[in-house]
Amino acid sequence: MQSPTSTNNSSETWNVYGIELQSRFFIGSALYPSPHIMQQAIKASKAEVITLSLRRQSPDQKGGEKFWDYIKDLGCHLLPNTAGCHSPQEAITIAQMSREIFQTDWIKLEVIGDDYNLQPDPFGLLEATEALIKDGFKVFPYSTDDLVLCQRLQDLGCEVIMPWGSPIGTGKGLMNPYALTTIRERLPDVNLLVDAGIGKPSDACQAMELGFDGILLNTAVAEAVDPVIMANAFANAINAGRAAYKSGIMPPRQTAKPSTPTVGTPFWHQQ
Amino acid sequence: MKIAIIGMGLVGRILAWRLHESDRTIHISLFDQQDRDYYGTGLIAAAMVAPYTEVPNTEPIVQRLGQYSFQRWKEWLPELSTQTQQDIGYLQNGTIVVAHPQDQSDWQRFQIKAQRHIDNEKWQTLNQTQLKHLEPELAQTFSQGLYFPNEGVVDNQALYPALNHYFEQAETISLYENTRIDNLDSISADYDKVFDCRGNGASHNLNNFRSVRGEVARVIAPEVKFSRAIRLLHPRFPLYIAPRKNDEYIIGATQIESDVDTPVTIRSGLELLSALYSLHQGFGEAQIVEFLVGLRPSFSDNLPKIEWGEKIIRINGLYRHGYLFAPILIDDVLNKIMGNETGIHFPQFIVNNES
Repeated sequence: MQSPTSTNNSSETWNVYGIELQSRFFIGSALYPSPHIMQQAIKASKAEVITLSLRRQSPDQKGGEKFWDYIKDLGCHLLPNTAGCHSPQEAITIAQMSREIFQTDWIKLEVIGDDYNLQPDPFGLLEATEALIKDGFKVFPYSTDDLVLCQRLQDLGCEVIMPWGSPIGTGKGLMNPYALTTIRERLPDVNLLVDAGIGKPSDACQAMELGFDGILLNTAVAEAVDPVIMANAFANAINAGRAAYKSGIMPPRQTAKPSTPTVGTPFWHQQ
Repeated sequence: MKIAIIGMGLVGRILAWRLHESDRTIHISLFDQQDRDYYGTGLIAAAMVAPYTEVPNTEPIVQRLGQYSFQRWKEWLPELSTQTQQDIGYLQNGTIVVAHPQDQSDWQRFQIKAQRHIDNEKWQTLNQTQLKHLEPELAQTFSQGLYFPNEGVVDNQALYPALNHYFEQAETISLYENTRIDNLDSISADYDKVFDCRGNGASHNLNNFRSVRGEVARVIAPEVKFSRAIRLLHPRFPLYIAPRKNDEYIIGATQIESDVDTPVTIRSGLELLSALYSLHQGFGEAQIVEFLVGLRPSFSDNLPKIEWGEKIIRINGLYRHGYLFAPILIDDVLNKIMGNETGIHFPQFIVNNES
């Protein structure tokens, strides 16, 4: 029997495009002080899926190969991303290069619509998703928290959808829990991950309590004063949120209710 | 004693100079696949000696290594200037760090890391009046700054020619230019010691080793008068500006996990120059002299390593910290050669591999 104090819900697995996973933490590989610290942090996170970018590393010449090897050495599933792409065609090209280099049909699809807050372009995202699914990719789209956009992505065949909590790298947490809750309720059969904007472990925990299936983050760990300890903190928070969701969170009440019986309390102390 | 040094970058050159200064009877052969005027990473670099402002993005040990090197350059550069009768600048006015108001989060992150790792007396916050006093033109755009007084910038454009001049005068130093040596064992029979001071060229001999691409711009900006290194914090385009003589500034640098040294991309150029223009509009009319690409030789922890074999000694992996690390590493190597083990400051970088 699993210890009740365990930080890893190791008995529960989930299925992502046919792959069984235990961890619900997808972690990024950018912005760490060094590849060595990145490796330590990812190990501490117990993540089984690592996202990586190749847009700026001269992928046609495999310029980042040595760095990619540090990531491959961790033995996790690789989720290449199209970070930095501003048009569907750019994203499709990078996805195809990624598939060739990393031998995976998984792609985290980012099509950026606004350069300052890196907001996804919903129209370009749908266009690229459709093309990539037709080309045999398993798409993990990074989207806004717009319900209709998420529905359209599901209609196109996405089994995973990753709405933002807030813009990439801001650490503002869940800006719109109402929208995220609605997506969860309306798309019960899709794997939902909050991607982007998570700043604190409690943000990740909150998203998991809402019933999200996982969390994807990078900056909050990589730019922490101690990324390794922070990775562990997030792993614990994600597990706590998942356990809370599964075990049934009590609905809030308007009035206080004593957790000890009031029998025996003098009537003039009772209301 | 006969010594071969493979690689005529910053480490190879400084090692040859210091070895020759320690004992002029040593015969030193300096080999490089390029010629002495080749524009390698050490010459492209901004050559900042920044023991403190580098800390928030790297390992805290950088501070201790860099403090030593900052002082050492103060002694070395005047010494080399006297020996070669060449002026080698060493700007020692510190560094100012700024951020735009919309990037307060990065500003706070930098301060949190600085507070955690850097001694309080090594830096101070500046209000607008203090900023205006230290760097008047910066106060036109920014209302606050962080000041790290004990940082400097080496004029590497003067250092390299001075060392060339020194080698030409030294009777016991021989230069072998355009001579590529891949197999160090092949020449070790002819020498008492062989030093591998190659940068990226050593990649196939080393484990856990990679190159990190960096792109810089050189501009001439007569309308800008900065007297010290400036760093701009930004979520995506962090920037440093290292002043040189005659209104010249080195603007850097991108940090891309790639070992391809193809020319600077439009995106990198746009990022560097946009961030630069946002810092001081006087850069708008600056002339772009050139964009340059360098590859930083790096181990996976971004820290250097000295591998000490019976005959072959490797000094590699100075990453983006050539000017910050070279003095301390070379002093440690010289102390070890001379048998002065107590004079070694950072034994953790020396991996004994003696057979």
